[in-house]
Amino acid sequence: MLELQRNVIFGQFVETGSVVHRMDARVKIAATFVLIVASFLIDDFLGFAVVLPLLVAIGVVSKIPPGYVLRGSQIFLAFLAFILAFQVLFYPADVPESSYLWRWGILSVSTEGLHTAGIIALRVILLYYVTTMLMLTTSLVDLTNGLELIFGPLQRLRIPVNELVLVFVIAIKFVPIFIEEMERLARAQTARGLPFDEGGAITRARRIGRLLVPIFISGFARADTLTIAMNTRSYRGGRHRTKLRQMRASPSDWLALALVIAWILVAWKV
Amino acid sequence: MQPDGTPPVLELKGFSYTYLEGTPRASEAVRDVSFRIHHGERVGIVGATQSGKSTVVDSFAHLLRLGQGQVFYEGEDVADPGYDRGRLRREIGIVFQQPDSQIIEDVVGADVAFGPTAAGLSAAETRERVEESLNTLGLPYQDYRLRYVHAVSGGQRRRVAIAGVLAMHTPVLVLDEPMAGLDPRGRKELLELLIKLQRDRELTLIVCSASLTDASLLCDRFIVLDRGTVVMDGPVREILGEADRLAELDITLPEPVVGAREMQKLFPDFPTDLLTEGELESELLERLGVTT
Amino acid sequence: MIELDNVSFSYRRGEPDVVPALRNLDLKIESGQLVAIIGQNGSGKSTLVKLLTAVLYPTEGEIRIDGVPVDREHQWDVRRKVSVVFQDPDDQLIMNRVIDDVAFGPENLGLPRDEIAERVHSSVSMLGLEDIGSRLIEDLSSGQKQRVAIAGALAMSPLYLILDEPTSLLPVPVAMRLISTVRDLSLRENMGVLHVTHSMYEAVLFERVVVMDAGRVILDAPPAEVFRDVDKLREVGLDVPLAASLAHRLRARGIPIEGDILNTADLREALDAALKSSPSG
Repeated sequence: MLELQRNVIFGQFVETGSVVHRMDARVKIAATFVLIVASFLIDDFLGFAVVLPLLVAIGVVSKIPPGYVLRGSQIFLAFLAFILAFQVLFYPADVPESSYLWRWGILSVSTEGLHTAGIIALRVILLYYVTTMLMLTTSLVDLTNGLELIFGPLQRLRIPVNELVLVFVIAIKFVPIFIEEMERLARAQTARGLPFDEGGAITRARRIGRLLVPIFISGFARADTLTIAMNTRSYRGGRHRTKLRQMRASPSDWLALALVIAWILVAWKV
Repeated sequence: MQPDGTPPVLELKGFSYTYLEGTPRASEAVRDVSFRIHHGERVGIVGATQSGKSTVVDSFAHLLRLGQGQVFYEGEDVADPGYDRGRLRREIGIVFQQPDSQIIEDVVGADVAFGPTAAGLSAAETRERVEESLNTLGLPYQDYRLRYVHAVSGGQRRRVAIAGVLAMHTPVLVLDEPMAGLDPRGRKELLELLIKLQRDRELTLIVCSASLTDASLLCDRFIVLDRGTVVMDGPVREILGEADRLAELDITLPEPVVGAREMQKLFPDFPTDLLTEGELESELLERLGVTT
Repeated sequence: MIELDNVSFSYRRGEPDVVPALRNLDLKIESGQLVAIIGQNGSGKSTLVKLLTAVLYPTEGEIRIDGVPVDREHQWDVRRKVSVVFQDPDDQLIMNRVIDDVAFGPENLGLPRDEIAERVHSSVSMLGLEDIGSRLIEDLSSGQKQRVAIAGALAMSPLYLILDEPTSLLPVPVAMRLISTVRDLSLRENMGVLHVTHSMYEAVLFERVVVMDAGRVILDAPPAEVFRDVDKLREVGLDVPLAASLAHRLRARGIPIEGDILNTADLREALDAALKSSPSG
């Protein structure tokens, strides 16, 4: 627990200089979007099995060490397992008597329950994986510019796209800072005799809970300073902004996007 | 070992540490750091930012992943399986650079009481400790015990953090950048207080800083770190004597030393191991032929 | 020119725990001037910075920057004239890479791409950051981060650069290098600088030193004059540079030290002169 940063990678950007990093952000965001849609469309194990090699390929090409991603997802996976256990045990639908594997009062384990929970798990993991990979391989500027360009047309519906994108990007920027701060607090309080490196999971979770208030207080203070800093740098919403970087999608970027779409169609239809 | 056979209070043997080890963001903080600190010593661990000072401090109370054979408290390896980390942390009091991080309770009195209570002291003893600690730090018990921690000034919050550690009566007191963020008056007051405390309680005092200004008045010995390794270790005056080497390390030199280095351009043999303005003045007067 | 005309400011106005932060401040700062503002915590320095950047507005009195009044209506005009660098770079750097962050301000001004590129390039090179332009900011040292923040402010081509204790988290040698870079920039670009600091060593590098205490200006003069007022400075809890105080002591011992002594180099020169003029020394 004193090394929280090793266990949470959400919001990190890791430069490896890979092909994925160099891809046009719009193409990456579009591909992410396609995969998110896929996670809702695909509803059988075979479909997910078809998607798997694509995900592995993205991971390999990005050159981000798989061990890092796995360890950084431990907390997320543990949480997911916890939620899914509930889903299985309290599976509400009427299922034929034959598919019950175990039953005790309102608690039960049935093949249907397991099947549903399995599909949900794969969906959530797919969602998590693609958004995490997007953040790991895309710098904040590219992410901002890409999202603004993609959602730009919504501006006509009076949706403040630029502001929303920047709020989202800044939220991402602060996640690692908060995690680092949480780690610092945990260390300092451990030194004072409130050990974060001892006790069972529930005790530790309770102790982490106590850190939320100070983290929020410092978070508000930081957000306040950042807002002032942005205003003094003449940030007044995105409308009049121009961009230093020009987005350029190469033919191979489009090809990669086409490949992802084709792959997903296959996975959906099998 | 000291001549009488007692082991050092703290000993680091080839201590190395890498943050986020095994990830693409890994960064080596310290490499092969070794030193011994004995009872009652007043040691400054100094170095520029990112020289590894805070990592060394965190190792003392086993706040990091530690391999065996690297950190010893009173001769015992703190990474041994079954070693009582709780006891270690009751013996080594650490005041961190940002006092906010170590404050646990919302109310001053309750926060200072946290350590003694957790250590199992009786209510009466705890109250006594809280009163004594707050008074020692110039935060009168009656006025401050019920104040909200977030409603007092930054300088006062630092004192609350120190009081919380003092209330534990630890034999070792470690301060990480104790003067950061204080204005000149606050620094002066805290400096005097720490000198008095160390003397009265015969503490082993460890001060961690990028500045030798205050550390040179608080300590007898400096351990100088540069990019994660120990580059100098010796009595304060001996280290200050090598001012040119220190200046290369981006460490803040004490003002008299800065003055002395300038005077070396005029008097090549001018010493730099000076602690006070008065010492610099008498060296100058001597060279100017004015008898003191 | 920055003009403050009888400016007062209070926090929590109209409430029982009202906190007056600035009291009847009159101050004029010429364009291109290098001004250090010193004072204890709570002397009103930070409030002054917030007023000059249109983050807060005066409770009483008026502030004009280059003729533009600081009020809600003109806040964006004011912010095109002043740029600020804060204490903690982590709270003000927005993007991951040096170049991208420096570009953030000019992008907000809606400048053409060529001009943004030009401004980013020149700011980055003026701060000596060319080699780390594409590095990730999180991997930089605190001194480098603060340089990035200054480059970002500079890219706005401000008339005035306001530095709100940007050196207080840096080791002195790093801070001194940073401040001398800023001084060079100011001279080259004719940009005014207001530097809020606790460090007397930095203050002596400026043309003018404004000393604040309890929301008022108590001294306002060139550094030589300000640091001669040893007693007054100590009274409000400020330090005096060692060289100034040592010169004071040596004069008392009859050593003829001529001129203004602000730093140890001045002292050395004065001593050298004294030694040469008296053959016995």
